[in-house]
Amino acid sequence: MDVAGAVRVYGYNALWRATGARRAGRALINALGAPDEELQVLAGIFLVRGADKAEPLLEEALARRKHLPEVITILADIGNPKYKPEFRRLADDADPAVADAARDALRVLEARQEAPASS
Amino acid sequence: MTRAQVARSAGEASRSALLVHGTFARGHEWWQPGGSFHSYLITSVRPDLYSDRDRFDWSGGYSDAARDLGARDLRTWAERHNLLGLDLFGHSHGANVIMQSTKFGLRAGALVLLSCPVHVPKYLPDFTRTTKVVSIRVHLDLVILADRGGQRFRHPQINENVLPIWFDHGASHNPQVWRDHNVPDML
Repeated sequence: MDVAGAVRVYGYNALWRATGARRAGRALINALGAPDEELQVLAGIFLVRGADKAEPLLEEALARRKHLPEVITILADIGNPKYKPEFRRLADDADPAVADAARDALRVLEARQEAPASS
Repeated sequence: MTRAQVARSAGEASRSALLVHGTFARGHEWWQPGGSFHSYLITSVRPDLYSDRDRFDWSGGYSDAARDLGARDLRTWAERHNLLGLDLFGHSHGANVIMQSTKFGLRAGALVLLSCPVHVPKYLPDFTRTTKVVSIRVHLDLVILADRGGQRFRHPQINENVLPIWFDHGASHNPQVWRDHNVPDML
């Protein structure tokens, strides 16, 4: 594991959450594509925990098709149903990883609506 | 028809094993047939590890809803494959998915929990639907720290093994770690 990288991701998250610094937030988005799988997971967890605050960053990544499967999955975990139309469109994406993520995102959003207490 | 297929059609335990990935890991190679850890397990530990192309996966989402969907899908997948009694290896929240699946009615064999974030009582297996539960982890796992989960189980029916390694969430699916620390003997 890249422990120094993990400490950096923790630092980006602390800075982003404390100050809203967009550069720090974008660094978390970039970490979704890190070669070290653990850094990807850390960034994903921090973005889900950021919830509303993470949505503008994730929308930006969505528009640029950056780390799409992860971005779609995170948006579904945050649980805002406004992304359903976009997920329906992406469910037919030519990239099977994107299409799978979008189909699962729709199922997760449906499940969350049935059990709204779910985190 | 092979002997295993005959046994399955008779509704007996399949004596097969399945590896389940964790959060944001669906696209990673290590757990897939041909991947590093899958290849190690099938070669050195579990020659009966499921390795067909239609292997089970789930969204890898970081929410209770995603994990519950994964757990229900796992039960459905196992039933469709007539693989009841599967020994299940799950990494990270994939370990919580396999535990949750037993709560949703899956009859499993042994559960092997690799670097599992502890969220008790939300995620515990139905012990009546498993034969044993083994947990393998490292000290102060940095991903579990971010997850805010517990770092170890304190349950009499879960056999906890902490490797002499620090921080590394992925160590528990690293073949070299399994060889160096004789992890197969912990199962």
